[in-house]
Amino acid sequence: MKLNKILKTVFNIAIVIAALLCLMFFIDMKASFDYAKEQETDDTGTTMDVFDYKLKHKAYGEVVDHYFTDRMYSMTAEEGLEKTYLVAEYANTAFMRRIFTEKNDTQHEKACLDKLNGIRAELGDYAYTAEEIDAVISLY
Amino acid sequence: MKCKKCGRTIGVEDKLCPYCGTVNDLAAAHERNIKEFDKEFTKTQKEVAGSAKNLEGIGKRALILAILVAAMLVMHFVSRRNYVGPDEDAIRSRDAQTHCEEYKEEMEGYLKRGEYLDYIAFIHAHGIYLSSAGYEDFKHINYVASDYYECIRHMQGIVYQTTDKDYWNSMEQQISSFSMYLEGFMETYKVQAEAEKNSTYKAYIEDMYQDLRSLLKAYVKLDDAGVDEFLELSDAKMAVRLEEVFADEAE
Repeated sequence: MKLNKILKTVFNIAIVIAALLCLMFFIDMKASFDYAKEQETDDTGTTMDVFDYKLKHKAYGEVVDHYFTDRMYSMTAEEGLEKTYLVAEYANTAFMRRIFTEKNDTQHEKACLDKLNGIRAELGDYAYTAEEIDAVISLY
Repeated sequence: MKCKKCGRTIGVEDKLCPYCGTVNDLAAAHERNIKEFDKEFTKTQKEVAGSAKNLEGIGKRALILAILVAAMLVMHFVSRRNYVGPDEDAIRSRDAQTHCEEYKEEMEGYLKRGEYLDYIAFIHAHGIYLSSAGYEDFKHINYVASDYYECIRHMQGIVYQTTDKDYWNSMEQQISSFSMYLEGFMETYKVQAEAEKNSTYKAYIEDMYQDLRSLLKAYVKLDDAGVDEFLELSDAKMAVRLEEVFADEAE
């Protein structure tokens, strides 16, 4: 009889604790749905604003740094962010071209030049970045 | 049976002899036994019923507790899935195993064309790591190419550093990272070039080394002797030298 009473008390306490935990888990689950929804939100606009801000300050170092990180996850740009890849690709190619010139590797240097011309044609409103990048590389 | 007094035949359950009225001891004992049994039966019945009632209370509680625990587990699982999302790394690793031969061919292509940056981007984007099964042949070159990738990346960070004072200047950080990876490259280059001395990959490792020598000549403005000397320095001393060179340029 006594044992039954003790068992009942223990179960009652456990149920109260479990109910409180359930409530907490429910709140957490609700927050997780909000988080997932937030993640799905298209942040192309924000990314482009940040990108334009970097270009405004000629922070091409930052542009290529993000490019090197992003490429390790996806070799192609996400939809709407193609220009960020193009500008970074131009900077990277111009940088590598200077190395191949120093190395007397004419084959790679030519390939870089062709690639630079191709990218330049695609840059559109961002064509000015090619001029700025070329100006930086010309210092070396 | 027979009556103990008159000896006539009487029924077992007759309490008194119908002929002489003598008490039937057997029937009396039987009645007592029946009463005792009924009493015991009722007592046991009550005990069993009480016990069952108590157990029913505990059983209900256990059931409620089990439901609550199950609900917690389900909610935790759902939350984790929402926060973490699908395991991209695991998906890419499985993909790398499925397309092993195809990807190895593409990796060879990048190496043959001297596109080492694309090579590293490719292996990371496809979840191919240093220890990935099926890609063991590329292990040594992956070590060297990873440091090469980081050296090129951070030297670009230095060269393309903004001069705008209103923007965060990461020159020091980029120089520190470049020096660290260049020292790492030289260490792995020496070890892996020896490990791959009879392999076709040795040519690629050597090519990357030459690229980095040319990088130092072009961007740090060193001659061959200067490059040799620079590459023997520790990463801290490399960083000091680079800070001197690029600080001068900034001025």
